[in-house]
Amino acid sequence: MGGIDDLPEASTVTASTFESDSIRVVTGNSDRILAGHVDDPMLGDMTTTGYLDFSTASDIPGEFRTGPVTSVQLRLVPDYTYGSTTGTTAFHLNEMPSEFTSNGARADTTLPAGATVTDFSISPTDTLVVIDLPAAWVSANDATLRGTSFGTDFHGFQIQPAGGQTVFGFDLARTVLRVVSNGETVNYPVSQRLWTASRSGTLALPPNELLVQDGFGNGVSFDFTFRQDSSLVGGAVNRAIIALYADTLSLQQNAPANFTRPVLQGVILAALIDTSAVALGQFSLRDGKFVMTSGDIINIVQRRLSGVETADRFRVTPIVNNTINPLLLYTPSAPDKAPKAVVTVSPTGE
Amino acid sequence: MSRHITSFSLARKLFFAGCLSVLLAPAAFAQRNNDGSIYSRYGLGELRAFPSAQLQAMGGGGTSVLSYTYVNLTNPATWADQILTRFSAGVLYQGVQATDASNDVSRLTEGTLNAFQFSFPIGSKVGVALGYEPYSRVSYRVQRDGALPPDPVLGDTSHFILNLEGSGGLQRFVGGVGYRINRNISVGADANIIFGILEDARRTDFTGGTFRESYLSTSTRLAGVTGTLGGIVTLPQLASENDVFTVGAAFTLPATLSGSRVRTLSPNDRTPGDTLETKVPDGSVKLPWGVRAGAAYSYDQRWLLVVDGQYQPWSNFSSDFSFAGYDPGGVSTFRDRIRASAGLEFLPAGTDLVRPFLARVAYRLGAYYDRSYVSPIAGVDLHTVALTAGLGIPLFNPGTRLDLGFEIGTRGQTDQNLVRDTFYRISASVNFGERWFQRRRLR
Repeated sequence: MGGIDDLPEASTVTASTFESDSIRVVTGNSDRILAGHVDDPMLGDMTTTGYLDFSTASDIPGEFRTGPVTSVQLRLVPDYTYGSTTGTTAFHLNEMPSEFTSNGARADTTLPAGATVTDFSISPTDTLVVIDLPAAWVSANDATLRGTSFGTDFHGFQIQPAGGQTVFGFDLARTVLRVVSNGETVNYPVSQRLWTASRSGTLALPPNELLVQDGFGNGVSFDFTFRQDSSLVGGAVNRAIIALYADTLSLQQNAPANFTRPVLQGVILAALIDTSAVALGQFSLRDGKFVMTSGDIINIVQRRLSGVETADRFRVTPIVNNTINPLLLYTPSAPDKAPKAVVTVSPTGE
Repeated sequence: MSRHITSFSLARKLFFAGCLSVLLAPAAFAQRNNDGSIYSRYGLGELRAFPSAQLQAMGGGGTSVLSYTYVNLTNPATWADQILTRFSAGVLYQGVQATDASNDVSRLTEGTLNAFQFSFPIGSKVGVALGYEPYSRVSYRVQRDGALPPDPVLGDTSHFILNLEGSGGLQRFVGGVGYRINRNISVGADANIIFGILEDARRTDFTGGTFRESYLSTSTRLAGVTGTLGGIVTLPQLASENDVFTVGAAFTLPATLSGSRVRTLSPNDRTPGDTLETKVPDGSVKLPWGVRAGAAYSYDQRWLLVVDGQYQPWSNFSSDFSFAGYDPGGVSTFRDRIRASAGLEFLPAGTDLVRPFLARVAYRLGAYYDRSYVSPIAGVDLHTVALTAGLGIPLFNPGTRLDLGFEIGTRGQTDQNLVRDTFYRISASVNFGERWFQRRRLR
């Protein structure tokens, strides 16, 4: 009927603020540790260091306890690489002088390490890395390695890169410390584990783009001035979509030869209120963009339009997957790919 | 020797009045059927008035009609002429058929309380009247569907269904006094308390896509006071010995209604979501003044001819709240209201109470035109034309009547995507008359 003009309509609002933000990433007790070094021409010089400790195994044969220990192998299973796909990367295997706590530990943790036990190298094509520990070290730790309190007496290793152009990730479910004693073989499983990350140098990003990166906690915070759109004010929100556009081509095209740079695929959207963050959902990259919508997003936009300010701004950070995968997001200055919110409202006559 | 005697039928009448009140009470609260005209969505609703059961069936006017039988709420000056203490109450049943340009038809019905009236004389020159009647009525239900354009991000298209419902309205308590100055002139004044709740709800449903349904209800409370001043000039034997000609006018003061509004917004589905209740800052609504004038010609106490006119400059309406058709500081589609009516009554028996029953029945006919104060579209007037009819049926006591009213009319148009309402109304009122507060003497 004529005269009924209050029909639902959608309005697009471009982000009014869009700036770099960061969080401290928890890397303790992860399913994977990273170790390696890469000098990325776009993202700077990145170094990751892994820490492993082991616990005693179940069903240890009695002959094993008798000894002596004749060999010890650290068996690492690589399941992630970032950087050069050729050449080898050298590592120091350092002994940890004391127990370390990995529960809740973050990627910027600093732990003191002891003397180097041995050096080894990894090729990007390796599927299993077997590190034979020196006989002298084995003999010196014989009693500890076959003792009943191995879990507390032994403090683990630090895997420290010594150059190279590749960061490796190791599947801890398949990583063991294999000890052979008196003809019996026991695989000690991983207990405490942690990896740390550091970056030096400057970022060389394309213009009008910001970095989101796993491992380093790089994120982006942004906001919209919904109430400046008069067609939205006072309306009942039926749908609110936040769209962030990603540049995946630059990461692929600007990589050196024989260089793999996996792209981050998932982010967490949160609403920031003072210093608190309320998670609004996890979203995956599809067709070059993140399309984020949920009931919680609708609630926040509804309150903003009703004049009840419940969130200072939004923030996206990487879903922690124990990688250093990056992603570039377009800023509001980018034509056609500016971050936007599409809000569908039913006018309420106010 | 004298004794004070109370009418032996008073207890029976009070009992009947009590039963009637009990029967009417559910109707009084049955104002949420949402089954009226879509045009009641606009402004403060569809304006209603109940001058008296007699005048309602004669076109709804009667500013100058004096009656010993009925209380005329259009003009307090008419209350000067009373003999009996009177009480009346009535109900209204309405049906509306709405037709659009595609000849699609919807039919809705509703029943409501019409009015209460109470009056009594004080001496021979003064009369007091109290009344309760609807001032406006909001009762509608409409649905509109459509499609959203493709989403700029997702590219999907979705359809929506918008349901609009309204209920409630404003009521009017009126109380005042009429005074006969002399044989020819009467004056009167009354005070009106206008109050009520206007409720609107809109629900938006979607098909396809990841939308949340929404339900918004708005409840607006308004209350305020105004008053009416009236006068009547009576000219008996103007053209013959058995006729009476009266002219009358009444002026209603502008009114300011204080109000408050609460908006509640909630998801319409069962998934968790916010329910926001927002109290809009209190404000006021300014109703315009109104004037009405009319003339009546009565012959031989059997014939009564009435013509009437009414004017309210609703273009002067202002409000701190928005209503459909009105936006504070913005667009308003309100128009000045004009109403004209005419009616005729024939009572064959006149004042002869021993005539046969059918001769003591009053037969009524009338018509009116109303240009509404609201319009769904700016610049498009909303016209109502209707015919009225009725019967005034004497009951068991000379002072008591049952009045039946009938009305049929059309409102609106099908051009410009509007609808044309064809409505009918059936009303029934009972009117009691009794001598109260007077001593009777038996010798």
